Amino acid sequence: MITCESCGTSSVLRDQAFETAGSGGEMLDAPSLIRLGQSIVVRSLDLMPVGHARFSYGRGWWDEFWCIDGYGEGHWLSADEGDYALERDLSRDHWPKSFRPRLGAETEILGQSFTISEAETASSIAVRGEFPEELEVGEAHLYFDLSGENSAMATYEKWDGGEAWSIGQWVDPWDVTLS
Amino acid sequence: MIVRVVFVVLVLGLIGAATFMSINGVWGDSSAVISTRNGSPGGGYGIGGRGVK
Amino acid sequence: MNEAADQTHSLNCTQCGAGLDVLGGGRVKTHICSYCGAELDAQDDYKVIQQFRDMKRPDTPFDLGMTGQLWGVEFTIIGTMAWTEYYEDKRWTWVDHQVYSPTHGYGWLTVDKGYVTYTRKTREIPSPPFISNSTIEHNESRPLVKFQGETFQYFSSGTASPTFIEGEFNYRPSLDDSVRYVELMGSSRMLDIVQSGREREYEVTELPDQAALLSSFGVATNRRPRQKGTHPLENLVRSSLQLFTRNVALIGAAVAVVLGIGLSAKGEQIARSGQTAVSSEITLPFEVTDDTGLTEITIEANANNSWAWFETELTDAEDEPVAAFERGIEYYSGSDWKEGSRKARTRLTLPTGTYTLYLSMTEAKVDWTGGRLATNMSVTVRQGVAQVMWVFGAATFLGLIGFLFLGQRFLHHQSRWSGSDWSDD
Repeated sequence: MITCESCGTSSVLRDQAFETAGSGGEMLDAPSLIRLGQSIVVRSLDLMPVGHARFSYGRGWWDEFWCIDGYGEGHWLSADEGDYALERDLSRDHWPKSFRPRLGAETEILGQSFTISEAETASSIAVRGEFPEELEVGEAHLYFDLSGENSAMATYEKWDGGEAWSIGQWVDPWDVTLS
Repeated sequence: MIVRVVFVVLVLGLIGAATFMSINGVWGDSSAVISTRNGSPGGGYGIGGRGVK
Repeated sequence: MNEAADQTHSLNCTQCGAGLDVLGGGRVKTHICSYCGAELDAQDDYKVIQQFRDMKRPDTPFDLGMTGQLWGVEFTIIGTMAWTEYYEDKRWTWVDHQVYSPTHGYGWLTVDKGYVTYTRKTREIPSPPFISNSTIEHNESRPLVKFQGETFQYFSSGTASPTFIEGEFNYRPSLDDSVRYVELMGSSRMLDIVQSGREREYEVTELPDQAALLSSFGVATNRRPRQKGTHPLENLVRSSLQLFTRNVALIGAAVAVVLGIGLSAKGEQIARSGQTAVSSEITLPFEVTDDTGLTEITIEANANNSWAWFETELTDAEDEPVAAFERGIEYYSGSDWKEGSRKARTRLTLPTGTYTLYLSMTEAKVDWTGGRLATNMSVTVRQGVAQVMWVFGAATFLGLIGFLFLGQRFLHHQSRWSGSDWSDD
């Protein structure tokens, strides 16, 4: 999916042709370490942010950036008031079995144990740039943040018509630098 | 800057003076030596230290 | 980010109606009214959670709403918390300010003993993850933890409680809280293991440039805190002139040592007698061609657990006596020790010219078990020998200047650790 940065229109690439998917919403300017098209270094990994989505939880919002590393691999970098997390999509084969989404529940992913530390409903309020999946502005997502040992973290996300897992690490804001 | 130059000059001067005195053997005579030369300052046997005159 | 804050920037206390500034972000959990002490739930329409009373406002250079930079990142003071710790009959107080940056999140500025430090939470866990009271009491040496590849040494521990709370916080503080902390010191930062109830958190503290921080936050000169003692994180910063002086002195000392070693080898052998029986006399003519430095006469004899006494006389080309000296040789040894020397060195100043040296042994005695009298003697003459005392003296003097700086570092180290509650007994 691509959202035009100047007019905010989203398009989805289907069968080699772009279809208009709707508006990308209004992205208010706010202080940010990460900007589309400005490459950054996170834990010695060079990343180019190409997509920016903003999710509102009512009182506030957080940002998710779709970033491409030097090998062409994609990462999600989320920025939530100084809490940064770098995650990769978890392939369906590794999804935890018998997972019960509630606070404090424990589960095991790739041999590591995780505890659900936060649960939140959020909806995307604005999208800009390119994404590996279709993001619909206004769509409500249920988020569960799981914390593991030593900065390990994972996210379970559920929305109408889908669910997804990602896994990664918390990143210290002072470790996010412009390259 | 001037303080640094002065300090370097002092250190070099100290090492230079020490080297000069070392090479010339200043105060290097063994205390056991007594000069027996007649007519040396003080005359006759003088306790060593200023060399044999 | 706080959408509500972007639009309104203020709210009215739901308890007393006072106008309150909203300075933090969307992750702020509670807002404690500066006027009535009501704790409001920022996540639930600012409903009153509890009421704090009789809180004494602490003395601090910072007010809510002040903004300033820490390492180039802008932070806003959004909360104030005063802490007290009691131990036996002693009492410590300090003030924490919750600070917020939209890009770097929530942290703390702490004012303690006149120093302002910046603390933030870390999600990395040190190894071991916890230091118990009994470890602290029973360990022989300061407990250590490894964190991010660095070793941190135990500094202090204690239990503290808040006495004053106002403003916004990203958690729910309470006057009833009791927080146990273990503080450890690394090379340039401190690590705190903080336990409150069942929750354990890790915090990293750094000491920013004090003058830059205070002026960046716009703290008026008359409100700046008076620093007491040396802060544990205060590095010994030397002026470049001090560093220059130290380096020049140390380099000078090294040069002088090298020169001294070189000069020790200076000198040239001009005469050498063969091994001669001690019963006879050695007559050794020699010519001094270089009168810089000293002439060195070395007598050698094979005394073993015994001593021998030698008389020497020097005459010039006209056979007139020039100098005389007597020297003893004593040498004792056992299976794992030895004492004395089989050589006796004499140095004297001789003008250029031809000389003759007369050497004879006058007395000898065995005064140790298994001793043997010297049977042979020999003598060597060298010219142009240096008196190296001067250059080694210069090296010592310059080295001492360098050591004074080391002493200064030691004193600084002592005062850095003086706040630690660790005792070696």
